[in-house]
Amino acid sequence: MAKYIIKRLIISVLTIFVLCTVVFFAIKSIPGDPFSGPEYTDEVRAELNALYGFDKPVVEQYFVYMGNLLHGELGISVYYRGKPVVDIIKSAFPQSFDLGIRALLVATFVGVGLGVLAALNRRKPLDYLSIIIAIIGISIPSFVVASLLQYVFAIVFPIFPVARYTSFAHTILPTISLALPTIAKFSRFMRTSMLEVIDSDFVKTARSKGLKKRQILFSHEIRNSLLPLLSILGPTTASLLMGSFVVESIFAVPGLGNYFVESINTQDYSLIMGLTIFYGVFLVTMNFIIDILYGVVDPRVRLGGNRNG
Amino acid sequence: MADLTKQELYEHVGADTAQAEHIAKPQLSYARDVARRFFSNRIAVLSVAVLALIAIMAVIGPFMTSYDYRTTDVAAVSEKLASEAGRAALGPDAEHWFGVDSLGRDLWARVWMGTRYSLLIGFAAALVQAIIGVLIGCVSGYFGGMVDVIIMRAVDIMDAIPYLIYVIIIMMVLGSGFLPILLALTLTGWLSMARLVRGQILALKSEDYILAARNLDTFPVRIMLRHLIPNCMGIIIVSLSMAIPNAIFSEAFLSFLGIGLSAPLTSLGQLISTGIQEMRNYPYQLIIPSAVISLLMLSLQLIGDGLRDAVDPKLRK
Repeated sequence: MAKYIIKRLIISVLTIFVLCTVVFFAIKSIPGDPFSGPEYTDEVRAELNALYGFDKPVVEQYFVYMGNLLHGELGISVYYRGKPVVDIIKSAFPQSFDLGIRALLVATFVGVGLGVLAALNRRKPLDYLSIIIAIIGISIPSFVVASLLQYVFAIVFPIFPVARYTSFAHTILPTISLALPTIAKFSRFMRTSMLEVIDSDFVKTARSKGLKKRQILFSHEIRNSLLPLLSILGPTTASLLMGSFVVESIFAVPGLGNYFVESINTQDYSLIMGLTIFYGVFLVTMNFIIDILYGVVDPRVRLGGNRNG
Repeated sequence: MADLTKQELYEHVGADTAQAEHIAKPQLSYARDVARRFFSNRIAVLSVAVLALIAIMAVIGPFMTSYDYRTTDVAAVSEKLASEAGRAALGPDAEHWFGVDSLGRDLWARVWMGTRYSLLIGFAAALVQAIIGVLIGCVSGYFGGMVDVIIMRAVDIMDAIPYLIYVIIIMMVLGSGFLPILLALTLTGWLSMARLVRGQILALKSEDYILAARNLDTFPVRIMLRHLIPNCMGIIIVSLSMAIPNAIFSEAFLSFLGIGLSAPLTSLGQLISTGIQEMRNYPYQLIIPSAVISLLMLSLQLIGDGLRDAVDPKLRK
């Protein structure tokens, strides 16, 4: 187990290092100068460049940036003059986290529920209904879903507020839009996994022992089909994160995704860099935790060494 | 009985030449078998028809109307916007079948032009990704050892971050446009294909016919091209068919962020992201391109599912 954890840890650290390096040099190679507008005089520009450290050679800037990273500093926003990127993240992360957790919870309950119902009613209307929901959830892009939901339930029928994120009613539409693709993925995955477990020997044994149906369902079937779900939790976190870009900017949720989209449009390179690195560290940490959890729950993973081969 | 000779005891039946040629069931090649299974799937066939229809419209749609997809007519729009009746007339009518956008451009021409670019990007990106992925996966799986370890670690490291983040960064460096999108999508999209092909090659490598080919000193490239890749073709095609909607979706996502194709080129994603801004007053500008992209994605997804079931019936549940 220790060997497995160390191996995962090394890969995680390496990933973060590569990401930071790639992102840094990529952003530095973007042509143009953030302070090139006519509103800046030469002196102001020189001062700003000195303030942001843009006057030093790129390699030196890289070492300074990486050094600051180790202290948990991500530089200063170019668009929001003088505001540290870390402060922006601190103020925006809670909303994104809140939305993400809500979506994940909804997706887990609805997705798993649909998958189980579909597997139990194989080749019956309920099964087909769940397949239809799953396919629609996978194939319609989230920005289409989000904007149509907003149009129908906030503009045509003003049941929910159009945008912002201040009360429970505000959270409903963004949560549904963000959760839908994950509901689709979970329900399909759960259905396959459940069908496999239903056919397995230990379920037959449980049935022949005369256990109650409900007991078999919860402590044998669902419990064992949930295990593989852990393996797609990593990619799910990533897709929720990408989805949050869209959903947050459509519903004007003041979260990280909204800032990210905005920073692309305002060309705030230090904010983009900081957010990308933050996302990277967040995802890699999540993946690390999930990998370790998976190793704990399913010993085959760590004994087998390579999950993919 | 006794007076019967051997000749009489055993009758020579002979070979019926007509019967000898008769084969109960024709032998099907792998490809034909897959095709037969695929075309017996009604949903998949319907999806192919929908996709074909959309593709045909993407080719001929822009020529069906006399309006160009780029030509703006701001004067006409502002004239219409001045009156209440005119505002309603912006929408679909006999003149502009899908209405016009806020700059007076004909939406029918724009939607099909956008579909054309979305399809082009989807197919081109998926194809190039597949070629890179197959080559890298093949080399990694066949040679194994250090090469494999290095390639697979690199894949692991890249895969830990959603590829769209890399795509966004690359797009910012290269600037928006058709070729930058293609480049950004292909640079990042080959990972899953490489991993898949590598796994398959690892399984195939120990087959006897590969051993035989190796013993005959066949050049590795020839083994890969003649034996390994054709035997992976099933999963390659399935994965390719899944990569197409992904690429279309990625392009739409980039357009939504405002770093997709640059004007005057347009794509479904770009039409939708402008549509969102006009949603309140002119919902058709959002709904029409959204419907087209949804149909497109739905049919591609179902074709992918159909192909997967056809290639490997065991997977069908």
